[in-house]
Amino acid sequence: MKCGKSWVLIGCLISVLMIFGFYLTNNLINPHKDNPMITNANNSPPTSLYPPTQEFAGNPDKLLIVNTDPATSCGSKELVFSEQQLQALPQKAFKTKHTWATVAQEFSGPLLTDVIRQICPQAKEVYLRSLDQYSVTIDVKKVAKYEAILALKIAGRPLTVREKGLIWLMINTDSLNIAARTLDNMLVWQLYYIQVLTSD
Amino acid sequence: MLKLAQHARYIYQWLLVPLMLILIYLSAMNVVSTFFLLEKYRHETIWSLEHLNREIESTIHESQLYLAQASTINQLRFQYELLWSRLPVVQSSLHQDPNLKNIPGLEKMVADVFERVKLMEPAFMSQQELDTTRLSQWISALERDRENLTYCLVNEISAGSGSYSRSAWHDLLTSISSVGLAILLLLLLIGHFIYALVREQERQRTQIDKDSLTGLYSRDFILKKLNELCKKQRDFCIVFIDLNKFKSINDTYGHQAGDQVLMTVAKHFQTSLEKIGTVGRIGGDEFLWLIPHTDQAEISYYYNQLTQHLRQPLQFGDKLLPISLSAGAVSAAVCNYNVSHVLEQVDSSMYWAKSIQSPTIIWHGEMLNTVQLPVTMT
Repeated sequence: MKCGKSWVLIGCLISVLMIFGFYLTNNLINPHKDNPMITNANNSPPTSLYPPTQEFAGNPDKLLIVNTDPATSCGSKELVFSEQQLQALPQKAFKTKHTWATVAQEFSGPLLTDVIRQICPQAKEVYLRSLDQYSVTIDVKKVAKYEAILALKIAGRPLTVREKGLIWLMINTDSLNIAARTLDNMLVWQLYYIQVLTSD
Repeated sequence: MLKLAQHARYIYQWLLVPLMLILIYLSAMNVVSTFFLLEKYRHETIWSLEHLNREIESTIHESQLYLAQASTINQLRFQYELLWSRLPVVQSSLHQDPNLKNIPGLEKMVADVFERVKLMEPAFMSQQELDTTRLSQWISALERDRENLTYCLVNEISAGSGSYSRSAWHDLLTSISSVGLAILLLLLLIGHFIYALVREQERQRTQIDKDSLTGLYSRDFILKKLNELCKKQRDFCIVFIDLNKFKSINDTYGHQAGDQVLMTVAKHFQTSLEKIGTVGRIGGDEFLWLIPHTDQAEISYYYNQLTQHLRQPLQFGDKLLPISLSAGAVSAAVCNYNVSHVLEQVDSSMYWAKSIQSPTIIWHGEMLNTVQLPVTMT
């Protein structure tokens, strides 16, 4: 090999390696740049009042409260969903594995975006809270592509509080090829309250 | 075939370093992903245990409210369900987080809590009135459990010196050491290449400096040395040694015989003459001996030793090859340290020695004296 040619080859090889390396590193360190979850920089929860959990103690007429912050364009609205009302919405079902089970399980329930659209179609950010006081803030547009559902049934039977019901925000991580544990923070279980924080 | 082997070696040399780099990169990525995974596990573990603790606390609180008749059975049941939902989460953490297994007694502790919670299930689920004493006993047992869990959480899991952290560190150190190993391999490879390069360089230098047939110094080397000595104006002597009738040996007995003669002569040069100087081969049968001082007596002594050793003819197969030398010498000071002058004069000395078939070294001065004698005589 002439002197010039081999150096060009080496240069090409090393630059290909470096580009590949950067690409892989980026994917590894930022696995979810478009994570729908919004983390508050000042770490304080939104100053919304959330309804107390005692009213939800096993009450099938009151499964989910959805309301809007008065500051949004949808005004101040509130909807209380019973189990039947949630079942009446178009249901979606899928089977997926998750962090808390060793086998894949089947979940079914209405789409999160459908439920939010009932109260505020232009919602941008929503606040979700669970019965054990866990809460997250989610960007509605980003979460739409994950087709998250409010799972009401597991393997055909109603989801109990013990099994992280009565409403569990579930995503089909298997079919969307999402790496395990990357979206766990968003899968709120024992969900009972949704509030629309901002809208377009 | 040789070309193929050469190409293969070339490729192997050029591919190994990128391969090593890839290996280092992969092990570095392993470290990064191990670190992130460990952090994630740790976060999850602490989270699930802390929430379990919190639910136990809420259950105890709710039970106390119920006992004080400030809460309904429905709310107590609900709280019980919430507590129950926490336990599988902790158990899945225990199964998935490899570092949790290293904490002594944690698994048993959690199993005990689960058992205790399950024990109360029939009491909560039945339609009968809840037995208050049983409930009180239950919540005091839960209180103890909570304290144990808090202790474990604070001292074993959260603490930097706890067994959880140590085990996590161990994992991280293993993957870091793999990076270290890969880097070491790369350094070894580079070291090997450098060593091979240096050795090649040495080999080539030797090739240039030495004459391949005889092992004596090459013409280039000797002339270079001569130039140096003249430039530095060091006192030295130079002896031009020539093999007599070398051409006829070649013609009569063949080139192999001639080579054999040269090699033997060179060997003797190395043993006798190189003690005080440097010998180089500057032509087919011509040799130059550089001595860095000017003691003519010593030089003649060593030369005579050499000729003594060469008195025996060389045995070549069934033939005997006679060896005889002619040597002319000059002292550099006489020639004013001029290189061409030196070479001229040592040349003429040698030819004079050859013409008179002198068995000893003919010095330039001697030659002049001897030459002049006939002139003055007439």
